[in-house]
Parts: sequence; structure tokens; C-alpha cells
Amino acid sequence: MKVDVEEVHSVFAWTWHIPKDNKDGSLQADDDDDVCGICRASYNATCPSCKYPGDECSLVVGECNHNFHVHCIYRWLDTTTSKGLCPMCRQLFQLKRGLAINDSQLEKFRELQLKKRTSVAGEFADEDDEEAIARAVAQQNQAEVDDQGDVIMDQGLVVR
Amino acid sequence: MSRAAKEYKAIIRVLQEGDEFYSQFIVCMEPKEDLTRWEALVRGPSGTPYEGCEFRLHLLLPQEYPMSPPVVKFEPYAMPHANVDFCTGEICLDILTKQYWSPAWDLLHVVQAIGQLLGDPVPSSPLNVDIANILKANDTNSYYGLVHYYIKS
Repeated sequence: MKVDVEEVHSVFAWTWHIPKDNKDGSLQADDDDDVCGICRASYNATCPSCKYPGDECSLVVGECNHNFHVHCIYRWLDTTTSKGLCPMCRQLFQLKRGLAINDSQLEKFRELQLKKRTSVAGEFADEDDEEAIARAVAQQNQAEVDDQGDVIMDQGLVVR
Repeated sequence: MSRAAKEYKAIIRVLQEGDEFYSQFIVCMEPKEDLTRWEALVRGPSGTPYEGCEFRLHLLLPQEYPMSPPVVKFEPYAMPHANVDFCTGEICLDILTKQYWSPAWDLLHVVQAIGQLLGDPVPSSPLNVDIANILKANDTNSYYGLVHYYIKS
């Protein structure tokens, strides 16, 4: 029998690859109904302000293993009331290092952190902005050198 | 606002299924006109002077919701409780303040928390000083009497 292929329709499906932390088992297997804790939309759907899911509206994984749409968590961390904390567990929200899914967002979150620190520094001292920024930058550099110190210092800043 | 729509679906599902956790306190909950205004009926918890009564709550979702907490009030002149302003229905509850709110919470959590507040009044941060004083004095009879006077009349 001879078959002529006239047309081919390719169909594909995709989901975000959410890395599982098997070592300590703190991250459960991802269910189909896993939703962003902020907008309640599926991880694989968009946040409320986007139209098309995918790279434009990606997912980020926190150091605390809580995942959010990047736009949702950014909007939350951008509020002063968030104090930089994860909405789910109230730990300092930081992007998990070494994950492909987070890499493209690292810069954006670093800038946000810097902005927040600058505004905190501004609240506590009446020095001119440049000095406050310089200090925040110095803090940031220090933080990058020493991860452990980073956490401690941030907690100092977000004390209620 | 699409988050409110998602919550509406979840609320219908949870209340229809008769979820044990939520139906303990929540009688019904539905939007009025649009999804920014809601009304809920809270059941008075058993073992409290509120037992057997239902109380109406008004919830208003701000533009920034869920980044800001919903504004929740009891019906005015209907709720005698240490942490509720009797005249306005205003509620003193930490998770309803911007300082403690988290976008991970939703309207079901909020109404659930208010249901629990009915059974666990906090007289140290009162909006109704008379009832708070009675509670501080551990005068259970007066507490029941005063609450019943208001809600059963």
C-alpha cells in the first residue's frame, strides 16, 4: 500500500520544568492543579496581566521552594508592606541559585532588592542620595561575597 | 481582578462540597453586583455566646487586591464583640492590616479567621471596651448576658 502524506499538523504541549528538591524532599511532586499562590492561576498559565503564557510570563522558584509567576511575586516584593518576604512562608524571598528557570530574572530581582535597600537606607539617614546608594551598593557587594551574611543582614533590615 | 474570579469559582466549589473546615463557620458567601463587593454569613461558633446566630459580613476588595487586604466589616449595630466596633462594624484583626496581610491568603481564609475570632476574642486590643473589660474580669455570666442582650433583641 502506498501512502501519500498530504499535510502534517504538528501539535505540542509544554509545561514549566519545576526542579524537584529530592535531597530533603521538601518539594512535593508537581500536581496538575498547582497554582501560583498570588494570582491563583496555574503555573503554566499566565499571570492576570499577561496574555500569552511562556517566556514572557515565566515562573520563578524561591530559595524556600515556593513558586510564583515572576510578575506576581515582583509586584508583591515591590510593595513596602511585603518587607521582601515570601507570601507563603514569610521567609526572605530570594531566587534559588543555579536554576535555569531563574537565571533570566536574577538581574531584575537584584535591581529590586537594591531599590528597596536604597529606600530603606534613605529612611534611616538624611544623607544625600548618592551616599545612600553607594552604601547600598557596598552592602550588595558584601552580600554577594558572603551568602550567609546576606541572609542575616536582610533580616536585620526587615525586622518589624 | 481575575484573581477574584478564580476565588469565586473556588468558593462555589468549596461551599457546595460542604468542606468541613470552612463550613464550620461560613454559611454562605457571594459577590454583590461585581466581584469587588461581597457578602458573607458567618455562623456563631458553638460553645460561645454567638452560638445559633448568623452574622453578616461586608467585604470590599481594593483595586490592588490581592497585594492589599480586603476591607471587611460586620453589619453596623449588629455585632457585640471585643474586637468589633459596634457602631461601624469595623474589625480589629491583624491579618486584615497591610502590615500582616499576605497575598497567599484569600477571602475564604479571611472569613474563616473572623469566624475563629468570634470564639477567641482578644480583649487586649479592643474596639468594644465594655465587652473587653467584662472579658478581662473573667465574668462569663455578664459576657453571655450582654452579648445575648444585643443579638437576641
